[in-house]
Amino acid sequence: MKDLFLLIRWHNAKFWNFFLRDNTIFTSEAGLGFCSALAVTNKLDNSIVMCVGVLLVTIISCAAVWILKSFLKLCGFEKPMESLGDHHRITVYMIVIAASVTAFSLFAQAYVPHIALDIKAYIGLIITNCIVLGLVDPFDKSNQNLWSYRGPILKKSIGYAFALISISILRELLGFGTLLNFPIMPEWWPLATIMVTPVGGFFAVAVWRMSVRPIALNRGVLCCGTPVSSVTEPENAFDSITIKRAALLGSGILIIIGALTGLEFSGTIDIPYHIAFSTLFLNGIVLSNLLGICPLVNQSRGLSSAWKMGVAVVFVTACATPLNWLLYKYVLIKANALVVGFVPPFFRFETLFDLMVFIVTVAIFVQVLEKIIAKIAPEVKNSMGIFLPLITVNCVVLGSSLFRVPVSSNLLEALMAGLGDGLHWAMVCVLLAIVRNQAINRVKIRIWDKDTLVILMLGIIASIWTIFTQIGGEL
Amino acid sequence: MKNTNKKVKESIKSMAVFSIILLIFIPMLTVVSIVVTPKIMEYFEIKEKKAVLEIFDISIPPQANIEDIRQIFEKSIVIEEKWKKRVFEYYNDKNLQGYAFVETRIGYGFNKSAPISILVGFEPDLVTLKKIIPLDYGETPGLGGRISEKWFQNQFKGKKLRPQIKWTSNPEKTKNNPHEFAAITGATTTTKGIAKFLNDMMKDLWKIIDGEKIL
Repeated sequence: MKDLFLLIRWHNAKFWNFFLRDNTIFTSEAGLGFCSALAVTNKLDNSIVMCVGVLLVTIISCAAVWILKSFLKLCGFEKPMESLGDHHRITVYMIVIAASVTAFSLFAQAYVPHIALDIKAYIGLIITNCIVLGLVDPFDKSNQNLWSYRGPILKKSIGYAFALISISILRELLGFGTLLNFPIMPEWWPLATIMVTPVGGFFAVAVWRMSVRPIALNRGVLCCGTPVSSVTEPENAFDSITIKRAALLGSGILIIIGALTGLEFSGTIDIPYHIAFSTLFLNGIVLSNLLGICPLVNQSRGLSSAWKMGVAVVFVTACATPLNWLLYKYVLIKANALVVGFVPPFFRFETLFDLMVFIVTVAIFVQVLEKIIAKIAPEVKNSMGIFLPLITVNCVVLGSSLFRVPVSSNLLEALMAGLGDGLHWAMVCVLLAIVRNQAINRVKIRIWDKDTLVILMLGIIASIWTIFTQIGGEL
Repeated sequence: MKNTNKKVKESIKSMAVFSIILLIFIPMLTVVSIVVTPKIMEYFEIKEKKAVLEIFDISIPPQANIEDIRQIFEKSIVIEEKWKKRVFEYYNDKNLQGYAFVETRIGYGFNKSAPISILVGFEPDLVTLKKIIPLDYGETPGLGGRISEKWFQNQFKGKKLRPQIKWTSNPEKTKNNPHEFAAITGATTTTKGIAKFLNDMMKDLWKIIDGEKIL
């Protein structure tokens, strides 16, 4: 009996360790994979497909990198990846991941078409899911084969799936009253529409992080050695909250209550259509489309890193989006005419290779930017460190190209849209850094980390934004 | 000099690696696309045929397979190229029961970069709607994606598109008003997008029809 008890305890500890230690959505200080955790989790079936997608894309990408390395070695390249340098290597990974995502997207459309139709806007963005890159890179460097690397892949992917499924259970139950589309909640249950909206994702993530983190700390899954915020703070936990801040927090809560109770503004204010204005404010890529959340949470820790990263993102989106527009309109679309008769009529370059072309352009621009910064302001380059090459995987940059290029009718529109997207991200990042410095960093908390409060704060800002968008009317 | 040579060598090496990568992945994706796309196209073909039959209230037996659906469609529906569209017509005892066509537009939903394709069914007067059935879209699942739900599609039956159709957040108001349809809660942008989609589509259609009449 005692042995059985010990065995259960051992398995229990292993279970929590497996799912919660280094879980990039629930417990990590530097969170990854937030965008998809917010975007697709209002339905459990969509989340399951997304989890399968991330797992398959990771496996295919790792296998492709391994095959590629072996092939390059056969071609006479010694240590092919190592000799490329950090930037080129990230570009190679992105090409490989883009190809894997395109292949997965095609298979999903063929074999689970109704679900693929539902989440097709987000499948392309698996490419910038930091979890995939975060597994492909160490796999390549470890020089292991795919089978011996199965542990980290499964741990990260299952941990990610655990988080997504938990979030979607909460959101689907509260938002729709169903699970996997089967009615669960009684008819009298008041449905919280906000949980269905992307904004609700912030609150669901925050609620889970607030619930899971104390358990993880209690069970020793997260040790106190990690920079968990203020674990050793005194008992009087909220003593630094002033009346002003309480008022600010209160007004935020009131706005949420307003949104929850269905407060509606009729879209009567007629704001003239302007692309930069639209992308900067009303159709903002962060607060409306919920992209670029991971770098936002990670880069807003300090005001200095926030504005520097913001400027870099503005430069990259303002350059890469119009260039991608040119490539899309004048290379990919025009190339279709060259292969007429050689390939079936449904074959379209712009649907098959857009991801690969866009990500290569972004990677090239990031490298150009790095070289320019190294020459003009080497101290800025040093202070930005690894974050500069990582702009390549900032989904705002890819999202700007993916979302704006097909709808832009000329180069100026694409330029304005890219500029607006970059400025929007920079604006939110700086705003968040100020809020962190002025309020969140002064809040003394015991068990919740400050990133959780930042996610909650982002939820409040996004709620205000959503209402603002409603007022903005048709754009 | 040595450094420059080294840099040139490294650049050539990098370019060679990239070229090899592209030479591997471009044919690979092409093959995957050629293998898989017919299945995707078949899905959309059957989806479109089922939607057309549904718009004209032509029943499909529950056990019908793909071939059965194709046969029912071919027997019942006449396809004509007119108004710069592929128009589906349904005749019952040589009496025209209505028209339907697929309209695809970009920039109307919440996700402005994804095209929205809607099958729109009309009474023979080309003003009164039978039903609309969205076939392809990139809206947020559970929100704008609810345009695929039956209650949303069915509410368009009998709605008039002339002078224009509007949306309202109060479903009660729509019962007696043939110019209004109910919004999807929490997806106002998509709802507005659908209203604008239908109004713009009709503006263009009437322009084409008026042009043909003058000619």
